[in-house]
Amino acid sequence: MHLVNQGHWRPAIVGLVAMLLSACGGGGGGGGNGGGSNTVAVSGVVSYESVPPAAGCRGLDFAATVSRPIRGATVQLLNASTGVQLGSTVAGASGSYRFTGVPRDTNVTLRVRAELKDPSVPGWDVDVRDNYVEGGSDNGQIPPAGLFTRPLYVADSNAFSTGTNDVLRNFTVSSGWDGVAYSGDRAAAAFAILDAIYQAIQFIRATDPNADFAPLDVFWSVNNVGSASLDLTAGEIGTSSYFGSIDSLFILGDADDDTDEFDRHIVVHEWGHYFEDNFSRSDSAGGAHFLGEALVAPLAFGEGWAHALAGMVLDNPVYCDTGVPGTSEGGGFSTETANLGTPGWFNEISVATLLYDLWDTNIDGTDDRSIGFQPIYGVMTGPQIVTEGWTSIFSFATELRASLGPDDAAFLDAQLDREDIVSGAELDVWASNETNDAGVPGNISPLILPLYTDYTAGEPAINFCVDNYLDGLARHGNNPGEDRYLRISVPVTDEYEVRVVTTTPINPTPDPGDRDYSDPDIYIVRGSAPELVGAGSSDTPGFEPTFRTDVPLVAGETYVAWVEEWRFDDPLTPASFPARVCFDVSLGSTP
Amino acid sequence: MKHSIPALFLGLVLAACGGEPGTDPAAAGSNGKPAPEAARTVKPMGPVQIGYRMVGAPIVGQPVAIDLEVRSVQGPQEITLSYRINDATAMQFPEAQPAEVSLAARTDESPSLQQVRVIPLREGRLYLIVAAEVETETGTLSTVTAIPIQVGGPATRVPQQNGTVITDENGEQVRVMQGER
Repeated sequence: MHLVNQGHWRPAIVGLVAMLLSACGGGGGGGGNGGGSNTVAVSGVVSYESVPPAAGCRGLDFAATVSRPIRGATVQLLNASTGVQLGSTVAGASGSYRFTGVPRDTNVTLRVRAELKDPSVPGWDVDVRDNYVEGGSDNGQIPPAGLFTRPLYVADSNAFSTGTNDVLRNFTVSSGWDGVAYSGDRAAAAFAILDAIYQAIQFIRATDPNADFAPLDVFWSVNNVGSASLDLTAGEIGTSSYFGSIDSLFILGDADDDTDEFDRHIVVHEWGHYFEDNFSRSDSAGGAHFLGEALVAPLAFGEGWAHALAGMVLDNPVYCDTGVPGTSEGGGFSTETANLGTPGWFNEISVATLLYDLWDTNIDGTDDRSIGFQPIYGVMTGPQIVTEGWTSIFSFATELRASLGPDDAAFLDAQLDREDIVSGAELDVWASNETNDAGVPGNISPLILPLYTDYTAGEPAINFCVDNYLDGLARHGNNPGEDRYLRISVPVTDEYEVRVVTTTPINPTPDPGDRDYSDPDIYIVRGSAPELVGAGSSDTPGFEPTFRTDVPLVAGETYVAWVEEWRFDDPLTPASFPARVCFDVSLGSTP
Repeated sequence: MKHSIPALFLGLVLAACGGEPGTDPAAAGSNGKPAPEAARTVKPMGPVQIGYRMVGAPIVGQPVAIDLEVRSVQGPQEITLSYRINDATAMQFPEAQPAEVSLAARTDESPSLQQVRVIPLREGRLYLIVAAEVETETGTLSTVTAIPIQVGGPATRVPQQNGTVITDENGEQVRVMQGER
């Protein structure tokens, strides 16, 4: 169940802003003068210092800092002495703002709020807030109490007098960099994040003018650090990421560790996960992944999608991840040309370059056409949502191919061929004819392909195995072979008794803290709804998943199950735990 | 309306599949499974996997060794390891510890092994930054990881300041940053 942003008082703010806007005429309305009137107009452009990456993504290039307009953000005019708001408007697409009817000879301050508000339907609602609380801790609670009302970033100009004539006052929000280090407020950061998201929203709107964006909160702090554990209140955010359960992005900001606010591709990449989660469907498990690594199909697709979308939105295929400001730390890759790891359906780079090349107009080898974004958007917001299988390049490409004309379909096939992914008439959502097993040894290959194992509900248990051969050093459980998928046919409408029994001999110690016992998990979904019909994921030792499905399984429908050994995901699993574990899985008809 | 399966079954799949290296058991379920809400998509790491193991317990003033395993997902290739300590008051390197090491390509898929030593200067949760860099067809890529080194009691982290939190006239908390120097 999606968690609503409890305690979020955004509607009140939206209403207030709308009221103020109408009161002061919004941006560009009305007109003051410097004649006999007691009021003047204050207008100008709000912008922020944007710091680009250095060549090769080797750090940030502060010497190349440019001003970019703050587009779509709320701009307030405050009495500098009292803090009372004199007006509020929304910056235009060029960062322009205008207030009229402003009292003469008054000291005022411009305040730009790190928010994008369009309260109409369809509309959008984005806040950039500070998750960090000094001395605070939430012990890993998601979301921490009060998260959505934590301070919104705002940037204030220096005070100035309105004088007796109309005032032109531009305001560029500083990065806080003094040439050597950050010494001032890092005010531009929140607006850099906001601007990347503004661009993403506009990119989608260009294809779908009626796209309605669910509220999004972005949390950034100068105290947000990379961490092994999660404590959002303490700034330990893991890394820059998207939390689907709370529709929130968290972005790194600790200048001694890693900052991502100016890494626009990272911001849009994470926003791409928000898009997939809210506009499409994502079955991605998330979690750790290394560029070029062989990943489970939903994760590879989700990450590749996010990379590709970032390149499209920013019209720049070069993904940069710069490191500590003032150093040459960092790296990147081109979504146009990258070739990392073994190509295939399991490689996020393969998915990224494929999707990007479908869109871009640059001629590059077999990439000699463009289908534009409309067909991609159409599949993501249409058939991908109700695909019977898990979301993957197979579900996406199958549906996309069906929507294209012959020439574009051939173009898609060429891109699939280039990435060593099954194509043409052999392509289907089940990867039935896929032969690329990531180059694993022969004894591992049968655990990776076929991607789905057929099973009929009510039949005797089926035995199959999972194996962590591809997991390497990371032990994150995200590699092919560690999860196995069942395609389940249902002959009789019924609730079913689900059982997963480990058949590999494992002799754990009596202490459950040793984490040396098998812990199988299973999830069963009807993709065409989509709906979850049953899940067994207890971590109690010796408690194998055994449960009755939450709802009857409908005869004639196709269901999918995801079965895994949780120990493969657990970094504290002892080395003595088997690399391969087998299960009996059954769905028994109930009386 | 969300359609994502993780949203439907609240990341149970995701939590199960999404555990990251070094996930803190304290923030997880009784036996290490993260809370479902903690499931998240994260930015990618570079193409080098880094594993580590502390050798012994870190003690203030005494060198402690950390065994590293690194492997490129691109297959055997030369890897450059570099080490960094952000807080010079927290740790230092022994004189004999090079700041950068070049590891020759392995002849097989096994990881390269390396050991690094640091000297903790105070108690708390300290971090050694390890960057593993490889060449790719399109340039250099690196994986950077912060290895936590717990010395004695709990961490004492010095927060950085950025602006001032006030409650504005609408009753909303805002963090006011001075936008002009």
